[in-house]
Amino acid sequence: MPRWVRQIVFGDVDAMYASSAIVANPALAGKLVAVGSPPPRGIITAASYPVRRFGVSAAMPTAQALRLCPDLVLVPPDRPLYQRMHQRMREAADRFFPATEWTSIDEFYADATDLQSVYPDPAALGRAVKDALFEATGLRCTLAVATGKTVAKVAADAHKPDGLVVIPPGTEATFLAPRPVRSLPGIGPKTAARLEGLGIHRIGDLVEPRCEPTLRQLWGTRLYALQSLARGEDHDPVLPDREPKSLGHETTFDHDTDDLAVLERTLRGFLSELAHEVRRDSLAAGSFTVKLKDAKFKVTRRQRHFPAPVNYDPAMWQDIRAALRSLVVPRTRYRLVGLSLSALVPATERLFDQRTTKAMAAMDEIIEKHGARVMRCGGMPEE
Amino acid sequence: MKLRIARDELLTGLQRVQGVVEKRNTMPILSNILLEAKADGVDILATDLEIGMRGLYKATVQEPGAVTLSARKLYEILKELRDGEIELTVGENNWAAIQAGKSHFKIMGLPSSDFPALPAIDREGLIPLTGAGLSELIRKTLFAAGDNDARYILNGLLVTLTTLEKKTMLRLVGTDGHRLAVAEQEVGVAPSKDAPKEIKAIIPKKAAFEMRRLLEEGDGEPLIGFTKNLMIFRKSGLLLTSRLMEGNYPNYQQVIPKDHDRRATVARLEMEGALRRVSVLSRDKTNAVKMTLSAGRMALFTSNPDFGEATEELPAQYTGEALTTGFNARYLLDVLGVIDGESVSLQLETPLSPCLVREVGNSGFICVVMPIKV
Repeated sequence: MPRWVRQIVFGDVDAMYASSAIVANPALAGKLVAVGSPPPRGIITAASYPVRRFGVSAAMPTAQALRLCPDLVLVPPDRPLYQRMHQRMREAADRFFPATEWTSIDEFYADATDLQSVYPDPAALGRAVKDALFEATGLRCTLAVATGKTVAKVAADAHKPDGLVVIPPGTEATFLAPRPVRSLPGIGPKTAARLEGLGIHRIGDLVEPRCEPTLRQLWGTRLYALQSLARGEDHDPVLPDREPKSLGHETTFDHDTDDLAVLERTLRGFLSELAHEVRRDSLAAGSFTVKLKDAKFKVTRRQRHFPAPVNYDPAMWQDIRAALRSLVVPRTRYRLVGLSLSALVPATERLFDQRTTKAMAAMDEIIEKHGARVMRCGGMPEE
Repeated sequence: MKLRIARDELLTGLQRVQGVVEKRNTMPILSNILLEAKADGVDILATDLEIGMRGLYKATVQEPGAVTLSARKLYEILKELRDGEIELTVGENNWAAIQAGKSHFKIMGLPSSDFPALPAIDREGLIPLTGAGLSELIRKTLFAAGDNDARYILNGLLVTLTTLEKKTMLRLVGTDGHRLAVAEQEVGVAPSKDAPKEIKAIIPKKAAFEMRRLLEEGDGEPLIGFTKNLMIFRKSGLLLTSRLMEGNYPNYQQVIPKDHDRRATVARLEMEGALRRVSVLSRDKTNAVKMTLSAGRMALFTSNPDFGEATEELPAQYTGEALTTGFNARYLLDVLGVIDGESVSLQLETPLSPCLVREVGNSGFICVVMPIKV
């Protein structure tokens, strides 16, 4: 088999949240599982493939999902579980590849160029990686091997779930040409709709000379970069992970709210989850951002520094609550609230709070093992 | 008010109070100093309401009186003047005229009656100390005290003064919650056969800093005393008062690790140099440096995702199991900077337990530095 100049693997776990719930609780196997919070306000965070067939999708209000799929089994989100799964996948992937780049909790790129002497057949490599990930986590994933990141991602997206696809060198453009423009990374729903209006439906249309004048008006010089991608020319390297710069969480309410208590409760819930993650990575946050989106889709944000980097949520809450209160405009209804922690730095141990530190470590360990629902800091009421 | 004073004499007085004068401009008069012309000279007073300083300077007073003038402007003027006598005259509405050779300045003052009085001292009970000893203790602990820490009390130094059996022992403690420095030494002979007594007080960092500045001038041994809410410090005609900080100082003794064998001894200057070099590539803000101890050596390592990495090894007397931990390089450099001896010992039980740093051969100083996970 001829050696590839560059070989990129893209992996994407199938319905990671819902599948993790089933791995954690095998009694759910075969049921119509979706992850989300309960009605009336709750929304679906992630739906398993069988549930998707009923028309249920992420970000849909749970009440609507239950109407579409009455036998739906709703599982609450469990971020520590996903993190644990993520960690195991990372360890498994690191055993294969010299460099992996995780673009989200369930997606990664890896550079397999130097692995070709060990795995001359990319399909064999793909099967081995899929099996290793399954063995480590019990989760199935879709894997694509191509010469660049874009083609690998588009190929994987087209072969879900549990797929394995190899796009050999030289066939990239023919593989991409018939796909809808929307599947090309960088083209969102709004751009896709405009392109549809211009009669451009497929990726292949982007490199058609007849479309070029129209497209140049739309994109200017950016067009050439997109045309290269459309031809499957993609030299973007796999960048091993950098330190996370921030951690965030946001939610859209299914009914807009002007109730400060609801906003505070939601943020407090986010805070205990985020602080747990920050502590787990031995970090402390130097600043935070509270984000609100009102019923008219106007987004407002407030970023503040903590007096010193901190990872103990009761000590963070006062500042976050004050920022939220200063951001909320009376008699305004909000559809979304979010919180992110940033300026993450390695945490320095504290001299005088060693008992608190130990207690938090014990709590974090219990959360890691049994999920976020079983324990939380006192004085932080239930969501 | 009218007086003649040597430029250098007034400049010395002004230099001493620059640190006391309030810079945040909360009350305009606090950025002024009070000049009180009396028969025997001129008193210069400054206060930020927490700390006050008063000193008497030689001057020929032709007409007694008092005025307050901007500490900074007066200092800037004096600095630029040539040596020699200057004449200070205060006229109506607190306008002050400064005549020095051919230079003439007129600056606007504020009435002396508006200047806050220094706290009244009912009973001083001053204890003589050795200036060098006190200065040394301040130097060894001040770096560890907090800077604008949210826990107000950590922005001070804990002072414990014990007099027993003709000895006066002084202990200073500073901590910002991540590191702790405790320094203790004998600082003089107890005045009489008084019953042993112990005085505990928390003084603001600024007061300790000003004391140290005055001590560095040399020239005369200090006296120190405490009342219920005040520290009094006297040295060669100068008086420094400071309000004591109210609150409970954390139980620092509880966090000092017990002595055990897991200890590494290294040459201080060698470690300081190595830390400075590798920390060039440490991450901003936390200055994280990874430290590995293994038989006979210490290895320091830093990495910065934006620039690269650095490593350096140095010999260490260490026999325990290999151990890897991390520190804020700044914290270690601060301690190494106040240690005088040739070698320094670091005692660590586990990678995340407090690290006890000591000066080999000096049991009067200990420092505890908390590690970071790297």
